[in-house]
Amino acid sequence: MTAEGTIASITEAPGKSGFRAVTDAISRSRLRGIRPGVALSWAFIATLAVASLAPSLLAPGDPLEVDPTRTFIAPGAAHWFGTDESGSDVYTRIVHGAGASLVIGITATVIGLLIGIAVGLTAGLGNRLVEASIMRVLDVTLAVPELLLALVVIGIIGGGTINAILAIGAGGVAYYARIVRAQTHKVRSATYVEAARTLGFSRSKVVFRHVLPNAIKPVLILATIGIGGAIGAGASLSFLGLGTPRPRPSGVRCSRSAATSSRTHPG
Amino acid sequence: MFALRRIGLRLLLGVAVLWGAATLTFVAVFIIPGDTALLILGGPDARPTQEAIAQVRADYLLDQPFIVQYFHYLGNLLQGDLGQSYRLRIPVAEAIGQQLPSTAALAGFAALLAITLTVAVALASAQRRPWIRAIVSSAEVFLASVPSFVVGFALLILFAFTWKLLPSSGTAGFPSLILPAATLALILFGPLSQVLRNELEEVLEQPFVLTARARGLSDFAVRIRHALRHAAIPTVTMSGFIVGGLLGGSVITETLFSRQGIGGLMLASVYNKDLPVILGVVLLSAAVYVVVNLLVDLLYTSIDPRVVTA
Repeated sequence: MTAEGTIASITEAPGKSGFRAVTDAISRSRLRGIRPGVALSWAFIATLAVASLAPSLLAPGDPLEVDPTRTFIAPGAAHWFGTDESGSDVYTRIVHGAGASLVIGITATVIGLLIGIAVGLTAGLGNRLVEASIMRVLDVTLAVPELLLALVVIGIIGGGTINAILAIGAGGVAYYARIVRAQTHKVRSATYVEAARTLGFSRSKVVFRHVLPNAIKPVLILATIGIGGAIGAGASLSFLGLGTPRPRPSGVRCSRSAATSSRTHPG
Repeated sequence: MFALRRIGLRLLLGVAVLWGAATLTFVAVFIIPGDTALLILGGPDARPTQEAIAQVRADYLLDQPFIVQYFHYLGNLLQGDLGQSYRLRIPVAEAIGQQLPSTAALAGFAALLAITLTVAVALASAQRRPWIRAIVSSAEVFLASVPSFVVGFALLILFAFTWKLLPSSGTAGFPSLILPAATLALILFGPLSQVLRNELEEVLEQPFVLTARARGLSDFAVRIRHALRHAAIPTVTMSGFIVGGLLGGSVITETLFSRQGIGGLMLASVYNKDLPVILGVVLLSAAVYVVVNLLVDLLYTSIDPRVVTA
């Protein structure tokens, strides 16, 4: 907060004594300057970026290194998070897996978003029959929980990284499509769209130049939040053994073997 | 009268959703390449003879056109026949029936825990000092955003491995239910509590709350007797969505805690491409969704009688 802002908030607090108002204003401006939550988030994003672009900076070891003499070492100075059943360093694997998780999260969201926008736009601009049938199909997919939907997709097309991305993307389609459709309804009767039509622009030009850009804003915001969910879903699938297969490190994949090995090697 | 008509309409819509789910999955299975007869006989590794494959094709009507297979499947479905599991060689309904009780116990207990926790925490933290709300709200956001197996694993490390208070796995008895149910409940609690507290804070600003306080009611009584009811509707709507999704959450939790249940059945079926069972679980989940949303709808009227006329 600027000095003017501080002064303004002092003068705006007539009920308080001068001293109280000043300390309040200072503490408020301090909080606004370095909010701990925001600072933490940025630190985390920075770490994540380094981990995905140059993982060796954070974890110089080899994530694929296997050493049967060092299996199940408890967390300590040499191995921050311990080692897993094949003697690989868990911390190194997690750092090297971060990029893969991020890629899964972002690609799955983008795929879901693109299909969702196409479907939502078709529903919002199509005739009643088209719209009604699309919306009922979306209702059906909404009735199946996302993770279950992803499992169904994998059950039909098989596992693996690419199929996992498709499966997670499929879960987001219905949400994005519904919002795009609602927005399209709002936009299509707007005066600027009418004006463009009156000016004799072709249908596709009106749709892509005027309707689409104005209809996708809320869904883009939702999609940025959705990336986190998609990373979580990717991690869940990996946890179930249906995502990235073993030799390649994938973020939290390690935790499943951790759960089993904690049972066999307690303490 | 109106209520009955509305319930009837909702049930009809529910049946339409179930039919849609069955059709969508059936079409998906049909158009994706892959030899179903081979799957039924145990995959390519089983090396079945040509006669066996031909026999299975004829038995399962796989040599018939799509429309015949589809109506045959729908006809069976109408009689409550979900088909035969490829892997277990028992009817799908029976396979699901065996696993349902333990999942229902898990989901039910988790829902109970989540609701208790949500109401308690939201009531206690609404309109309190900023730092209290900041701590509670951060915890909720954290729980809502980490994958469920991370929460479950943390509970596992603390309660099962470090303090050795509760069993880490199994389906026997109440103690083995506590950790998995707590995992699911904590995940549900995050978003629910956020919504309920926001709503409560709005309600506590209302004039009727001031009136109640002026009549000499204690803060606790105001919150429980007046504010909670007014703040409940959005939370109930949201719990409908979330509780409907418990079946998805149970897949992770049951795997982590090595529990029996629908989650494990679903996972094994996905590994083995046991399509009839996958289809059966999808239908079950859609049915749960329909029923839960109907219940939520009915709950509105008992929370706020004005909803009926609206």
